[in-house]
Amino acid sequence: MQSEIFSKIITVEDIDKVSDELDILLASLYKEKGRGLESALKYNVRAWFSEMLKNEITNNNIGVEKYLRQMKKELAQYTEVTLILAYEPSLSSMERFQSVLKSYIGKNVALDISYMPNLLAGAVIIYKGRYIDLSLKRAFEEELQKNREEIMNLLVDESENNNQKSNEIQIT
Amino acid sequence: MKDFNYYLEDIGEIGFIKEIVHSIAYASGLPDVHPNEVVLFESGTVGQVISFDMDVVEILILTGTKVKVGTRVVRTGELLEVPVGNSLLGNMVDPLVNPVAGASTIKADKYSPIDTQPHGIVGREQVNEPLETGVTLIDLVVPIAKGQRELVIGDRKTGKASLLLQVMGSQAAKGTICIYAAIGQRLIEINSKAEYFKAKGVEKNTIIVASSASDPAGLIFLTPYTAMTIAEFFRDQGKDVLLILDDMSTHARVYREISLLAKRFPGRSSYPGDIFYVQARLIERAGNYKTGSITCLPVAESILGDLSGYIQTNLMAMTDGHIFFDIDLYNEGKRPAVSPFLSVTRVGHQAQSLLLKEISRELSSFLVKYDRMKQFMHFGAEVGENVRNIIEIGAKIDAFFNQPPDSSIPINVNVLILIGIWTGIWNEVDTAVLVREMNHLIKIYSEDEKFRKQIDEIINSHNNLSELINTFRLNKEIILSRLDRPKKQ
Repeated sequence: MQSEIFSKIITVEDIDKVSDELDILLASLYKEKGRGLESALKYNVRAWFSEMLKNEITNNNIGVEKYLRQMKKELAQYTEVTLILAYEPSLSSMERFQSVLKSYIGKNVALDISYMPNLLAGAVIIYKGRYIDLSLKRAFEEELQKNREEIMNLLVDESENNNQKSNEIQIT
Repeated sequence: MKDFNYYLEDIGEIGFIKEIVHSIAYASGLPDVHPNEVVLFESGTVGQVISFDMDVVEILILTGTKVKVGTRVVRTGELLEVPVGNSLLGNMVDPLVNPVAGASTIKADKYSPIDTQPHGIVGREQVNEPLETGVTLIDLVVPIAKGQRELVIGDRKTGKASLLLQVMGSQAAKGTICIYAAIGQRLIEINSKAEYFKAKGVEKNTIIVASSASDPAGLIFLTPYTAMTIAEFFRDQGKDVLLILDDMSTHARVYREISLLAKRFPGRSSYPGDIFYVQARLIERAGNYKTGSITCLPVAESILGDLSGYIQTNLMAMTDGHIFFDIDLYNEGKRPAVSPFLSVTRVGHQAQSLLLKEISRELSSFLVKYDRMKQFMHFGAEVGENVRNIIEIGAKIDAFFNQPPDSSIPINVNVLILIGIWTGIWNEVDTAVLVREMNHLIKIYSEDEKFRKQIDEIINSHNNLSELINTFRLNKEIILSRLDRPKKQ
């Protein structure tokens, strides 16, 4: 099913909102002597959604109810991918994430984005129960575990050098 | 068990709780989860997978910490295992073998899975050694053998727990490892049992595996499995183990609760269809093995003396007999209130000596006769001397069977007293004197080594009851000389 509305869906919250709106429209179908849908499109759903849906319903000849139900079915087929990021992403980066993930997974993807600054950078991806930690925090931790002594020595040397330099500056 | 982050990174799978229904949680994710696998929640709560489909994993919550919708859960890749070891002796632990109520730290000798397939026929042996309970009525009429599974059944408050403690006390004193599984009991009851073992000075040979009524259903359900796993550890060390599962009716009720919450199809009395399998698989793990033995005494509660309940009959089918506690006998003041007529031991007799077998047979047939005569007497009928004799001896045997809950009587002194009653040593005395003299004999037997040796020698050298009776008839002085009776002028 091709719908412009789907191109606006990026996150799981978007899915929930669209799904709620479709429920409202479906419930309004046979109310107010057939004028319920018109009134719901005007007052109960978002303007852009209403506009797009009106156009699509006019261009399709399969009937409003069937069209709305097909949309609901399509929404249910979205795959949820959880992304935990170290920063709050912009809309454009979210769109980019979505398109990259869609190209890998081959299905419509809805992002569930969480913000966790202690990841430093990178991301944690949770997809169908698989947990993949690609964060900088994890990389640091691994590195620290592997070469703990070496890193500690480097840090000690560095701090000693800094102390020496500051002493020299004070003397001069 | 390691922490949440370890398993998250090691296994790389995560789930999220979608729904919680009492002690059952439904989680999404965890794609490669296994049946019965242990899972760990973010909050530290432990769970066990009951079932799963393509989208949802059904998890039984085992520990008490709160779990909320949205909580993360990880696989551990492990089946439920508990630490077992000699350091368990003298301790009270929960079903996950965490020390309870001031118990010392448990040092694990190894980890054992708690739900295992019962042993096959290879490795098992016929029961051949009696288990002396120290309870006269049981040792003489419904004997138990090491490795036997004997159901203890009766109404509430009929003295089942006292008898079990008595048996445990006397067995622990003999060096048997005694494990008491308190399944969903009140904390105060559990603690009183621990106190009893301490007071008896036998706690070094006892282990209590306890779950209280306020614990999650999953934890209560695991209690007998953990107790059995610990019993198997000691059996494999070549020791004899006495395992008490108190009680299996509660265990069945808890399993019913879990099954109904998990939307399993209910069967008879709303119990799930596999209730027999679940309990039989557990009790079948007890028995007499080439290495050691596990004598299992599962307990069941009857309602108004009804033995035909679903779980009760199931348990009877799984065990090698049952000891029935009769509420009427209890109300008559008999202690223990065990009904010799409704109690059964299927393999206990085969472990008895020829003499004890004969005594048991004679005693059972006498008790039937005595009971019939007592019923006959209800009609106020005039009776002959023979019947009067039976009634008189029967009353003495009743007094002989009456035993305080904290006493343990060796089998040979039981035989001695019984022979004394049969040979007429106490014919002309009333019950109060009989009881006093019996207690005196028991005391002398336990304190006077010479007397004990003499009695043991006489009893052990006889294989025939009538010969033994004759020996004592001809040598009444052996008993009479110890009774401190005033000499006849």
